[in-house]
Amino acid sequence: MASTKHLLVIDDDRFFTRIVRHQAKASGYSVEEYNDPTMLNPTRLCYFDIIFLDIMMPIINGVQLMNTLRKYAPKAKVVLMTSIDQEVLSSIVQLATEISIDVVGILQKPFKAFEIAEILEVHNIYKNQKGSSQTSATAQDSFPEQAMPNLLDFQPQFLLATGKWAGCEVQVNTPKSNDKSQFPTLVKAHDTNNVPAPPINLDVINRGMATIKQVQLTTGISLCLWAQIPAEQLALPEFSERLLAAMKMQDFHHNLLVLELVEPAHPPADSQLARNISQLRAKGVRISIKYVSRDYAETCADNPAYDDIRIGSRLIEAANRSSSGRQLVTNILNRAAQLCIPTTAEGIADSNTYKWLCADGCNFGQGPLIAAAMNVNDLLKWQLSRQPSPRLGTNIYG
Amino acid sequence: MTAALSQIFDRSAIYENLGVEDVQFVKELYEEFLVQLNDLERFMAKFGFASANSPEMAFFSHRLISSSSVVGALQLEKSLKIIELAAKNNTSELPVIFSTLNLLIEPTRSAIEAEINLINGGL
Repeated sequence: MASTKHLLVIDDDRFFTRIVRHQAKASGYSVEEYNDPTMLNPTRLCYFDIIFLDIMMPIINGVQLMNTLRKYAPKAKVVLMTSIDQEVLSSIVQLATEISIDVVGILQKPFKAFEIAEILEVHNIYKNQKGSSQTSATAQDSFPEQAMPNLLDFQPQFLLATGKWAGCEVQVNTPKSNDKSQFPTLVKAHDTNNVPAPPINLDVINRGMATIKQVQLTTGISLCLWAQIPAEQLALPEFSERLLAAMKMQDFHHNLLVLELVEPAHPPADSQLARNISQLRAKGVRISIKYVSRDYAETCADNPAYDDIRIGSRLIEAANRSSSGRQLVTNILNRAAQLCIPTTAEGIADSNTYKWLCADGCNFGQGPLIAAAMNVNDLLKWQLSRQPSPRLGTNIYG
Repeated sequence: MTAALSQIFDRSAIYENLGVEDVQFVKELYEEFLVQLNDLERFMAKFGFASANSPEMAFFSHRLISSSSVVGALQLEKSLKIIELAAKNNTSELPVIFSTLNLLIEPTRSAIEAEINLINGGL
């Protein structure tokens, strides 16, 4: 049974502590609130999973409190609440990150209740997946660890970092590197009509988990590594054991990896591919696939093997060109809805495409209309300066 | 609601902003907002125009801007934003803006109180 999560809200303004309390309770949290931060007992801070902290408070402000949080609640996730201007806020977030405060979200006052819910939802998903990985750690501990020093031994075609925000995604691709001692260092544009962007150092990959975590926590957005992989590679015996062991060695959380199968694969339940997929998913690795056929939707509706269905940019282009292409995309979206699997459309280049995908129930979108590929610093600036976009379709996660 | 009052207070705002239908919770927030409004009024009455560009005034304005937006106190929010900016720049219009703010407090309070009474009647 899942244990209750504990949330602390510190804001001198009772009006907003009440809003946070109301929403957090609805999301299943136990809530404590302080309107006078001088009354806080620091030794109790470690009790909380997530702390909502106002920045502008009299006597002791939020920035001063960060030092206390660092000392007494080093593992707590922090959500900053404020109405100060973006430039000052960026400096505060930067400072918080530098002193190892895990900022997982920012609420600009006056915020709306759904914004609190979204942050808690992301936190919940992360926490639950982390929890399930930990629960099954005993089984994983028994896996042989000698197998794989580097994820690239499995030769994914490329790796990319992806950030998801307000229902939209931005992605940064990296081509496969021949140097297996490190992750690739070059990025190129994704879905920009094959026009490569200038090479950029992608620190998020090179520094591995540490930087990914920093970006994730700075922006409050889920960020993950994405690896494309041929089905035949994923079907190798012991693939999942070796991959999980390698991830463990690199201190890489399972739920931050997405494996995308590069061709349609509808494995029979008793196949090695199906067993591997099932084992990886049980550990929190997400499996993504492009295209899903009618047969698959009919036979696997009760137990789909995938977490995400992607509709590639070529298919989107075809849908914009002909009614048969459009019908195919609509069919895929309908099948995905039938399987309760979220869909992501790639290569969205214009607002008309965005609109019809919305109308047809696509869940997420990416492409030049939303953002070109960018480096991590630009990604942070982009996210901070950007107003939330309307979600594509209905979020099937509710 | 008269046209003039609808400019001052948008009763649908709080429900849209919070996505709730829990009127008891909405009432709680209205009451909290009135406490803040009363704090501001007391402060303004005590120190008069001299308070307009004081740090305390900046604090009250800053706090009330956000809650005014959530409850739908439209004119008050606008006026507080203007006074916050004017106080920062110490502009010559500060007395006029201060008086406008003073005039807005009573109708805003009346509108919120009427809404609370409506909720009480329906409970």
